[in-house]
Amino acid sequence: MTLSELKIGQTARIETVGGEGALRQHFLDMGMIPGATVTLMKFAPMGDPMELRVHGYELTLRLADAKEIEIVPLNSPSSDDFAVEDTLPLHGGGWEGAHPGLGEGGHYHDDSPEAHVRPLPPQRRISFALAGNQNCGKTTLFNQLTGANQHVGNFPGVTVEHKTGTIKGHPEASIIDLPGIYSLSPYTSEEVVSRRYILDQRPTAIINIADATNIERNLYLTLQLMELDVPMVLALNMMDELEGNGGSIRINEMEQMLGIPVIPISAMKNQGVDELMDHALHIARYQEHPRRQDFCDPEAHGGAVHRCLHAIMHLTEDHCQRAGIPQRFAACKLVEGDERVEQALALTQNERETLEHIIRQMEEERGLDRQAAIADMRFTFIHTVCDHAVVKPRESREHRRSQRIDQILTGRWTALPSFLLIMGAVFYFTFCSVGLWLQDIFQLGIDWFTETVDQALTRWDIAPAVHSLVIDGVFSGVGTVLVFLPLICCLFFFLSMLEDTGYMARIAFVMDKLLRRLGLSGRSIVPLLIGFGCSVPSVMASRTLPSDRDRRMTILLTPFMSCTAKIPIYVFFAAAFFPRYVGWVMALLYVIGIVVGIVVALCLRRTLFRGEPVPFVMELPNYRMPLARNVGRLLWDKARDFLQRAFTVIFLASIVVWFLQTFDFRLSMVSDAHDSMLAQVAGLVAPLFRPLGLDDWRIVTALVSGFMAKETVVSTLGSLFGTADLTLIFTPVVVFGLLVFCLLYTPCVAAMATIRRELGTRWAVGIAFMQCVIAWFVAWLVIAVLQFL
Amino acid sequence: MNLQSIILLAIVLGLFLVVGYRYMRRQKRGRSCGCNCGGCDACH
Repeated sequence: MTLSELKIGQTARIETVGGEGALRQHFLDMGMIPGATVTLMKFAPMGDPMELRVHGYELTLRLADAKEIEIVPLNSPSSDDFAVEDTLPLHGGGWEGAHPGLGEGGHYHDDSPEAHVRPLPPQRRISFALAGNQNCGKTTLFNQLTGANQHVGNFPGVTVEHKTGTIKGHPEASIIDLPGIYSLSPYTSEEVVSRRYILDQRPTAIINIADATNIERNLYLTLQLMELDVPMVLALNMMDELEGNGGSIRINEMEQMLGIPVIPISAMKNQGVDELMDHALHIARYQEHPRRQDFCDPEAHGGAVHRCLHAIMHLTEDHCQRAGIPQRFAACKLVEGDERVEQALALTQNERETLEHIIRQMEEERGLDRQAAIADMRFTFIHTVCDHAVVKPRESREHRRSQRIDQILTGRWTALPSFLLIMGAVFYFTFCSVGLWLQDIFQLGIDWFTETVDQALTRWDIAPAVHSLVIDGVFSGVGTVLVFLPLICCLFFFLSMLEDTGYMARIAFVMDKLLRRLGLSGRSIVPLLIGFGCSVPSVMASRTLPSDRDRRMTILLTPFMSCTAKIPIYVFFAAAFFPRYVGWVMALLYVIGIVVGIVVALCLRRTLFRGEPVPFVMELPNYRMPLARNVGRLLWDKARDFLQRAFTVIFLASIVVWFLQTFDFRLSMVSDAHDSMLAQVAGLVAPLFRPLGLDDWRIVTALVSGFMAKETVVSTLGSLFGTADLTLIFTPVVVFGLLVFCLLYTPCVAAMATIRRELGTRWAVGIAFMQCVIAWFVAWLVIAVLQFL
Repeated sequence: MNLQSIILLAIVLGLFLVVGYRYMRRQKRGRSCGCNCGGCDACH
């Protein structure tokens, strides 16, 4: 029987894990190993993917992948689940030993020759790598340690690039926040980034943060990090949540078993963070390496895995020393078939053959294939540690609440209506209600300020050219764009709420089947939704996608999701031409963007991106209440960014546009803007827009300036048209065509720079060209259809 | 052109040059996309 045939609520034991390559390794790393028990929680509304409970956490998996996993149904529920009783002893239970005192000074500090302590020179700078699973609180801890304001979210994979900061109170120590990873197998690009950093850059020490409420899966990475033989400290985060639900961890016992300092913390409440830093600095300064790197039991299954690993360690000792790769790590990776490690070690043909024989012998004796045997070895050790040191919590309040909410938000019949309702509410509140109301207040303030300055300049008898520069150039340019600050803050507020609560991960779960039809995976929905905010973080967010094909395709589709910078353009024209239907016009434009995106995706799927999207293996976090501080920080970041843009790019563009439209090529002021430099240059490009009815030089100029930042389209139009009544110049049909063109044409320079960084120059130029062609064609089509109607 | 006009013009042009120089330098460095998304070093 395969996993795909399991019924909801049924529990089974995994017999074999099929598939091959990196994906299979990923399944194993996530705990889907032979012998593990899984419970089927539910199916997504469209019947695929499924949500499973394994090792005490929820994991999503597609039915096609589940078919690769053979199972045996069990009658009793999984023992990996929550504790049934809350009366388990917090202390005692066999541990009678003394406090191990690892990573501590005073009489605990062991500088005997046996301890192999090699203290760093006093002036030497210390660099920490902060590593841990996705969504375990790394960025929260990073912010606590450095005082930084990095964005944190309740979605696996918020951090997509490493970030560095100096630790508060310790100017000699810096810390790097690595993207969240589940193992050191190079499955996603984040895992490659993190692994390369630790292996190549060699941080002085590692701070490994683990989610104490989900300790088994988190320790899997801990063991792999320990194999790297770098001084390391383990921070058990969310201890408050664990203890609040009746769970506990016997720290001394765990520390003794792992051979590294273990510190309970709550990064969010800043509890235990000072103690963590004391230990981390101690092990870094004295270079106290993990006391244990050997997790294989010589007694288990005839010692097959133990003998295999140690034989390989002996066989490759000289190669490891030459390549600077820790022996234990290299041995495990060689057994798992890691090609990068194999190449780095440069083994001879004879050694490779010997290696193969050793591994085959182990497979035969152990009765498991190589990757499963190594994963099983690690999980067996983890279970031993957890059996001795962890008192499992009851089902947490957060988990119960999440289950209840999920009955509606991911329920079979309620998921899609809920999604549409929530997104509808987000857009309603942003564009028709709160956002619009705030915008009106803002508009009044800006109008009042412009008028006051205008009157003051007249009173001071300022020369007409300078007066025009300030009012028609700077104020009309920057002011026109500033008005949209409330709308943009509103949309980002709602998007951050969706992410922080954990709903974004559910959207990925619900939409996976639909997106797969377009050739994408459910995870692509997150970059695409962020694209409604800003294309730059959206392109960055695509890094969490494990395959290059999915990443490229998602990035290509991101510009079709209308970003907030285009809102000023829509509102500007919609208010002038369709005053009673502003909301409808906006909604229609968003829908056109999505529909064109879908059509392009279908075309690409059949041409440029043949093949299947990668499997959907993702963790569903518990719903959490967003922290006001977190949301406030994000809003402030976005507002500051918008203001920065308004006073840099848009300020500069406004003055340049004002200059070009006020003077001719002889640098004399023109009375009619049609004689200006701008009109002459834009007139050359204008014929291209004749079929669209947009061959007005002012429109062309505004569109060109939009490449710098989309907001400048409105500021340029504002200063070019001045107080002219647009409704007398253009027809509503042509204006709608213009809006469609603005919706679809090339992304701004910041987005292009990010795309170039992610995909290279050729792709970036190709995307810009493709967007322009599509925009022109769709705008032409829309105008033709509207005129026909 | 009177004195106050010249002073105002100098302020606006001065701002233009300073902001422009800083913007060009940031673009040249190629580290910041300016979006403040946290993805590049210069934003933070």
